[in-house]
Parts: sequence; C-alpha cells; structure tokens
Amino acid sequence: MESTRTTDEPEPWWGPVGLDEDTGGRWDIGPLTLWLYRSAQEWRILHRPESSPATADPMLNRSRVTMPVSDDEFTALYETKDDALTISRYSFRRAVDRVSLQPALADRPVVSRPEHPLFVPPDESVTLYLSTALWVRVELIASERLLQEVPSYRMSDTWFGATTIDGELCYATRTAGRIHLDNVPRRFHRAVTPLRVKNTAKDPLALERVQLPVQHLALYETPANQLWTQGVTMTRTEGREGANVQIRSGPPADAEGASRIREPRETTRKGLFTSTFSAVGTLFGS
Amino acid sequence: MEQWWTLAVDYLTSPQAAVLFRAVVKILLGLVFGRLAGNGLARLFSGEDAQRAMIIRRATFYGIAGLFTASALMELGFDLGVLLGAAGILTVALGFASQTSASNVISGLFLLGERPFAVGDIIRVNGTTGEVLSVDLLSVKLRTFDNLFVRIPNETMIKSEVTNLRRFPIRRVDLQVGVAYKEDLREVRKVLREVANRNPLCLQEPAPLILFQGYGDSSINHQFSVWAKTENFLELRNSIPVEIKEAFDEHGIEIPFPHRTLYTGSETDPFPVRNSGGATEPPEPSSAAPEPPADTE
Repeated sequence: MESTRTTDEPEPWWGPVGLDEDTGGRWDIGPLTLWLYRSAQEWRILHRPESSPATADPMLNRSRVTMPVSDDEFTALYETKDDALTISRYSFRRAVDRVSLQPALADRPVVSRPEHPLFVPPDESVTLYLSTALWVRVELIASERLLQEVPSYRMSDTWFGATTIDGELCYATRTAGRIHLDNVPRRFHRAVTPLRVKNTAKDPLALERVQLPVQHLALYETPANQLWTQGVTMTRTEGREGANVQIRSGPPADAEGASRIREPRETTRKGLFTSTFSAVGTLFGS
Repeated sequence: MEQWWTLAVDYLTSPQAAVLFRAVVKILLGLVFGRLAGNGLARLFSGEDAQRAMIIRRATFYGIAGLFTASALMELGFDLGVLLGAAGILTVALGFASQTSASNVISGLFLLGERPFAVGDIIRVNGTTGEVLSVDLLSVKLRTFDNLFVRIPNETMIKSEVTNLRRFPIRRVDLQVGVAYKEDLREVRKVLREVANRNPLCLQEPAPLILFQGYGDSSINHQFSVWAKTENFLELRNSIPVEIKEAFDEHGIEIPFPHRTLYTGSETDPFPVRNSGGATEPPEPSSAAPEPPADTE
C-alpha cells in the first residue's frame, strides 16, 4: 500500500495511477473532483463539479492528489443523492492495476471574450495569453484506450457565426486578455494559448471575441509542469472580412523545452484555416 | 391426353413462345438490373442523405424497369407509338377518375423537388409532430413521439403549413415570466440574466432576450428567450423554469397568481379589514357586512 500523499501546494495531477485492490484515490482538479476506486476486476470513476454549476468558479486553482482515500468517503459517495455526482463502472476480464490520467484540450472551439474590449491599432500586433479549461482523460496504460473523459469545468455553450443558420457550436469563456506572460497565473487545470493578433488593415481592430480552434491544437508540457498549446496567429488584412487563422508548429516560444504530450483532436490542412473565413464576420465584430 | 400433350409441345416450340419467353426474361432482367443500378447509384451519389438516396434509387429503378418493359413490349410486337397514344387518352380518363391520387403524385414530385424536409427531420403538420420516416409517391409517413404511425397525403403537405423543427442548428426557448407589481424590474432582469448565464446548455450568444410584454392583471409580464442547440432544446426548456423559480425564491421575487379585488361600490361601506396576525380578540360582529371573504382566490 502506498503511503498517504496529501499536499497543500498544487502539484500536477496527470500521470500514471497505480492503486491496490479495494483502494481509491481522490483528485481535485480545478473545480472538478474525481475519484478512482479499484476492486478485483473493476475500476470505478466518480466525478462531481466542486459546487453546483451555478456557483462554480472556473478559475478555482486546485490540483491535489489524495491517495489512498478512506472507505468511509466512498461509502458516503455511494449513498449520496447528489445528482451532480456521476458514477461509472468499468469491468475487466483480467485485473488492471494501473490507469493513467491525461490532460486534453476541449473538443470544440472556444470563444473567448475579453472582459474589456481590446483595440489593436493599424499595423500593430499584440500577443494575448488565453487559457482554456482542460479535459481529464482516464486511460488504460497498456493500450492507451480511453475509459472516460471529464471536463474539469463545463463551459457554457455558445454559437459562433454570422447568422443563427450558419455557424458553429463552441464553448464560451471570458478572458482577462493578459498581454504579459508574467501576469498569466499558473493553473493546472487550464492550458495557455499564445494568440498573436496582427492588424495590417488601416483601421483599428476591436477585439471583442476570438474563436480559438483548440480542437486543432496540440498540448505541450514544460519541464516546470506548465501546460501550453501551440501558438495561433490571426492576421487581419485590408479589404477582407475576418482574419487568417494560422497554427504555428512546435511548442510556443514562451514554453522552452516543452514536450508534446497530446496530439490535436482533429487534424487540419496545413495548419491554415479557410473554414473560419465565413464565420469571421463576427470574429472581431459585435 | 396424348392430344393435349402434342398441343402443349406445339405451343412451347412455336416461335411465339420463344418471343414471349424473351419478353418475360427482359422484364425480369429490367427489374433486377433496375434494383441493382438504383442501389449502386444511390450509394455512389447520395452520401449520408437518406432522402436523396431514396429518390435516386426510385428514379433509376423506374427508368430502367420502364425501358426494359418497353423493349419487351416491342419484342411482343406491340407498336409503342400506338400504345403511347392510347396511354394519352387513358391518362385523361384516369386523371379524371383518380384525381386525388394524381394530385398526390404531382404534389409528391414537388415535395421532392422543394425539399422542405428530409427523411429523419422532425416536422409539424396540422398539429401532428413527428419524425419523417419516408417521402413516398402518394404520402409522407411520420412517426410521432408517442410512437404512432401517421400517413399524411402529399396534397395535404403541399397545401398546409409545415414546420421543420430540425432544419437549423440552434433554437430559441420562449418563456413567459410574470412577477408581482412590487418587484424591482431591474433586479428581475439581473436575476434572469444570471440564470441564463449559469446554465451551460443556454447559449451565451445569441444573447438571452428579456422582452417586456405588458402590465398584466396581476403581474408584470416578460418574455424570457434563451437559445439552445436544437438537440438540447427540450432539456433547456425543462431546466430553465426550475432554475428561474429557484432564483426567484432565493431573491424573494414573487411570481403572483391572479388577484381579484372585490369592490362593493361607493354606496356601501368598505369591507372591514382585520389584522389576524397574532390577534386574540374576537372579531367585531358587523351587521352591515358579513365576515369578509378572502380577497384573493
């Protein structure tokens, strides 16, 4: 049996998980609380948002691993009538003693709205650091098969498109629109995307919302356990609605020595979007 | 018996029998070939679209089967020109006789051309809501949500208003919300916006809409409109009212029920009003007016 590990300092929650039979562990990941319990031929995955979605704080900075967790806690969980708690059971023919928790980016684009409108003057460019909530994947180590995927925070749905007929369903989030790396807080349940916005047109560009194609981005981990995505460049050119969206290859310049830990969910053609063109009518507009 | 046998052999070996046999084979070939070609073309050109697959399959099948049948008829010695002329006259006669069916067939063709809905869509016609199972020559078949089979003639479909509930990717949920006259409307709007903000199924954009509807009999009425992904429409429509009620209860906002004030006219005395909260004194008997009824119902 492993010794009980509880730390107050946030530490990375991802990595392999080994549990003895009839023991369990608890992972506090941002606003999400996840439990894993292993019995003879079965793994149970329990998860619950930290508080009701009404009051959940998407920025709640928690990353804590508690292993093992007392049986009383699980008994209480099984008996609870809380609708927010989800319990799933996975049974195996042969005993599986290790699974792996892995971070992943959202499965849909994320529309980020700065808290205050940001203007980019003509012939200027700015780099914004946007963070998006991560998904927690519970995988089998041997086969890398996915058992379950849980968002650390259920972002609100939103529609991104010029009309209510054409567009794309996205997740909505708000961003402080930080432009200095030092100000970007370290949160283990969110990945940071450096977004470079270039305005080559002759009028200022009002950044009211940005659609980040996170399902096309790869995830990187720095030696200091920070999670980053590939960089994205949006270029607005004169006489053209919207912007060119380009995904830079390799880890972002701010995350030196980062290693790629997850491939994009969807592959793109040459890292350049033409599909975003039609929807960009409202990309920067109101 | 012998005679019958020779007669049968004579018939079977005569050139007419061979012709007849060839004609039958041609028709059968046409049916088989038409079916195969229809399926093949449908698979090739329609992709995921079930309705287009159906149209292609049918058109190919009828076309090929028709050609083979015409060829078979020619084999049998029919003059197709005469046959077509006769068919023209027959069509007029049939047209009068089977006006309804013909009109349904024509309507069906228009429906297929216009494509107001496709197989698998949820539509509402004359108060019937259901999933489209097939669009056929004479009718459209629906499966309602209580699992009933409904056949709607194509003519009815063409003539009446058809609502397709699945055409667009997002839908709006409209709720009527009435609050008491004493409430602060700004606060009410703020609470409603918060409710929309908290529900993850409720789209942030298009933004929720709060429309003033009027000063009602007993409440100030608003329309509260929130957007949802079409698939989540029902879930949101059921979850939002619960959340509104909870939020109103939490903020002490009253959702009133109809009030009725009784007015006895200027000639009579007003109803005596008594404060019964913790009162121990018996009510004063009044000869002018009996015990007042509750002024609300």
